[in-house]
Amino acid sequence: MFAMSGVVLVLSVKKVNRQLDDRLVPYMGVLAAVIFGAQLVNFPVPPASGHLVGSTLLAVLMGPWAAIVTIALVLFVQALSGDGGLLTYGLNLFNMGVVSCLVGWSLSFVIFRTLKTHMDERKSVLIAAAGASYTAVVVAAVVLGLELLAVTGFGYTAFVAIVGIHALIGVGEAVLTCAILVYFLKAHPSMVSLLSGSEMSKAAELPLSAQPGA
Amino acid sequence: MEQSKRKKLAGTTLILILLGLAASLVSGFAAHIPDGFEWVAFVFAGLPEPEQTFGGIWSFLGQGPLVQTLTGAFGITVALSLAYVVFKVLSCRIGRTDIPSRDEVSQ
Repeated sequence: MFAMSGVVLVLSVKKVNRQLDDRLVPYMGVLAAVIFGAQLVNFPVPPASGHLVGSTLLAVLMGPWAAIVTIALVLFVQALSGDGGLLTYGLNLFNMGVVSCLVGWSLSFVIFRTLKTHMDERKSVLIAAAGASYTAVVVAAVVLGLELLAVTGFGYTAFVAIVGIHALIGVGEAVLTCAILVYFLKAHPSMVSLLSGSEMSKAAELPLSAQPGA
Repeated sequence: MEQSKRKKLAGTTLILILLGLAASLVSGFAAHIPDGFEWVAFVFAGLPEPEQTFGGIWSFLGQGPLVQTLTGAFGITVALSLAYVVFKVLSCRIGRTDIPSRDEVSQ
């Protein structure tokens, strides 16, 4: 997991390195702080608890590559604080960074492209982000459940419980993602990578599609 | 948007996050499961929790809403600074390689 997450992180840094507009750096810092703060607060979801992951929110705003880098930084600071742990850093980065960001961004991109021909771009962003953030949380939970099945003693009951709890947590994730996106759509829409003409749209391109000077 | 307006917006957002975090932690609105989801999953599956070898750099301060708020506020500031520095370094490289300077454009 460390190796897989590490490879994707290096690719993400390379991608961001070529496309990031330095005028947006203060926002990147603030978004990292927002996600760190949101992940600190666990809300009770019996029998466990849950918090905002924020991967889809970041991916919709900055694109998947900058989002992965941001999640990596947030999880690193968390790990130093004893939340998440240093040994599980690779696993956490894979689930909450790589899987969530890529699934969240891909899905939101597809939904947004489908919806924007029928309605306002901003409404399309919100609906796409809500659907994608919910799905990304559940998919990440499925991945976590599959990973935990490798632990001796973990059974399918625990797997179903993990996915079931995250099906509830996903609702909160979708609501919070939309609430924060409403703010950005109003205050600084050029930060939303899905919107056409956004300053962030270049950083959201796939590595293979990046054309110098394009 | 001008740089000063961006910094003002960033500063305002940071203050709002810190206030929101402090309010939810001190008021007890947050759940009292400090171990995190994975550990609870172990308990649910009837397995012993894995031994925690590293309690974090703040473990000597103990537990409690006030400690959580203070260490959380510090963590938020560190996350913001770290992300700012990392993305600043990454974005500066664009300026050195891709975007021509004003002098280069005028020539």
